[in-house]
Amino acid sequence: MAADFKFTLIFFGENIPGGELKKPLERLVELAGKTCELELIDLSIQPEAAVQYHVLATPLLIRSNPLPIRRFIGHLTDSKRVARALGIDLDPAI
Amino acid sequence: MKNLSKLDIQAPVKMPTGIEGFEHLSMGGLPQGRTTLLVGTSGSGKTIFAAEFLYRGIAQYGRPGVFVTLEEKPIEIMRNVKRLGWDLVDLIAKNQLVFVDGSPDPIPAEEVGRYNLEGLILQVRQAILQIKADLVVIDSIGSLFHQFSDTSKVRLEIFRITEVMRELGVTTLMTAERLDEYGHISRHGVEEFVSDNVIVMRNVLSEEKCRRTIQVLKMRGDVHSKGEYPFTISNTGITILPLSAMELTQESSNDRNGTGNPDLDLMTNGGIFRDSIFLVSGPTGGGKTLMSAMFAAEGCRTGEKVLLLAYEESREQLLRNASSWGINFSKWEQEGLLRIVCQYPEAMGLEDHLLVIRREIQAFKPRRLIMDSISAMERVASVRNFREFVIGLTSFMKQERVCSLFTSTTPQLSGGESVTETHISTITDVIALLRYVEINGILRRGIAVIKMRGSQHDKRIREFTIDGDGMHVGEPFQNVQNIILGVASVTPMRDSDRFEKMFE
Repeated sequence: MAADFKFTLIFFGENIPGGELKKPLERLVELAGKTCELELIDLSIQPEAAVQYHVLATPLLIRSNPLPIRRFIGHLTDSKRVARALGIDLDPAI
Repeated sequence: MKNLSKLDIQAPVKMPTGIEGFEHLSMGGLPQGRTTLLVGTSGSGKTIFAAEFLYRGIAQYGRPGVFVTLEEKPIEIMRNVKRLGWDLVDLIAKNQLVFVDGSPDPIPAEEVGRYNLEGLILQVRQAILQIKADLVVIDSIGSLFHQFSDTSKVRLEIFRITEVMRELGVTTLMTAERLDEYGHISRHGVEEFVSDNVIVMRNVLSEEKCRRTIQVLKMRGDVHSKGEYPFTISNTGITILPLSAMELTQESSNDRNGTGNPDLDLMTNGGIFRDSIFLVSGPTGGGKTLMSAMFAAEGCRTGEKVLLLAYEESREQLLRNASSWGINFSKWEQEGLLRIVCQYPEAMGLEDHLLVIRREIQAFKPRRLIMDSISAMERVASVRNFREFVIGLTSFMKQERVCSLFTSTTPQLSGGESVTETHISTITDVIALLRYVEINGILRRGIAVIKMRGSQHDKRIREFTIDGDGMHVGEPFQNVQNIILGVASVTPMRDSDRFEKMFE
């Protein structure tokens, strides 16, 4: 079964490890009772991805499912703000 | 990587840009290894300047460059400069140019938390290293403030970008917008933290004419020309027009050029110097065009190339008038000795006129030049603009060592002077005045050489006549005063003369 969300998280690992960065997002999806597929791209390892994904600001989160494709920048620590922006409904969990 | 401490201690070295006139303005170019900020209102020519800096740097000086575009798409820039003959696609193919596309996405990214511009910095750094770039253009840095809402973060990141540039030792040109032509240097105060070197471009509407100027506002630790310099954007890019007295360094010549009239040659003690500027001032119908034609004919006869710039008459009129004095312009044109350029003063701005003249001179390489008339230019520009034009023109003539004759039409039939003369008379080397003289109800013509630098000349006011053979200078006027300065008046004969007459 396909996941409810598909994300690509692009970051600069020299500043912050990806594992730490993705935690709030995964927690959020879980809280909402959804599933997600998450790809991590560390620009300090794959610098060419910066051009490919047209990255100016990091961290950058790209939501490729559901459509339309949307882009979000910034750390994902403010869960309410992130949830609202990503279109994740938190109400059922509350 | 360059040695940081060493770079910082050394006085900045300037790097030529290849932009016409900019080396003169900046006294050498842009400071090498530093960041220069280029500010201007929208439409002031920043992007063209930035693109030309990069293009000439690569194509003329072989310095690889990176174009970071934060506003327009790379494809748009490539298309826009294509009409100036700059093939950026070719440079990209040769691995001498890399674009970093930081133009805004059609759907802007939503901000959900803290961020920095590591992605952009990484892209720029990679591009620089990829082609070992010497030059970087960022157009425009202010666009980051529109793409990202965290202003203080953006400022910090811009500062960080300049640090990266310094570390990599590249010469950087950053553009930024400003809102007013004469106000804050840039819209977001970028200059405060970015750069020691600031250039301002302006596009001011004055007296219904657009006037583009460029100014080096500051260049820390180095000299540069002060003030605003007019520039124009033509089909070859930007041309900044030098206004300073660069001719003062030119050596002068002792060779003389004939004026085409033996009588006038006598008055000027053998003709005018080869590198001088000859101003002929007179009322309408006073013989100026005839003098121009004679001057041109003399040049062609002695095998010198002559460029004739006509602003008041059409080509047909010129040819017809010349032939009525027995001068065959068509023949010399066919022989390649004469080139006639007719143009309406209103056809373009003075900066563009100046550029056209310079191009003509560079292409045709004349030894003599005639401008008939320079006062026609007065009516298409402000006084200040006109003065700049005259200075720019004459300094170029001196530099190219073209013997020039300018005509100037005086508003009144007798005496008086025009705006042209007030601005041009100090710059010209020889001035001849043509005036009508009214004596006993008859209009007669007078000519006087009132100034001739470095040579003796006839100081008397002589009468001259014009007939089918041209101009004939005769005897000095007797008993007439105020020919030059105002309305001529006849003085009574002296007593001794009267006494003599009584016994005739």
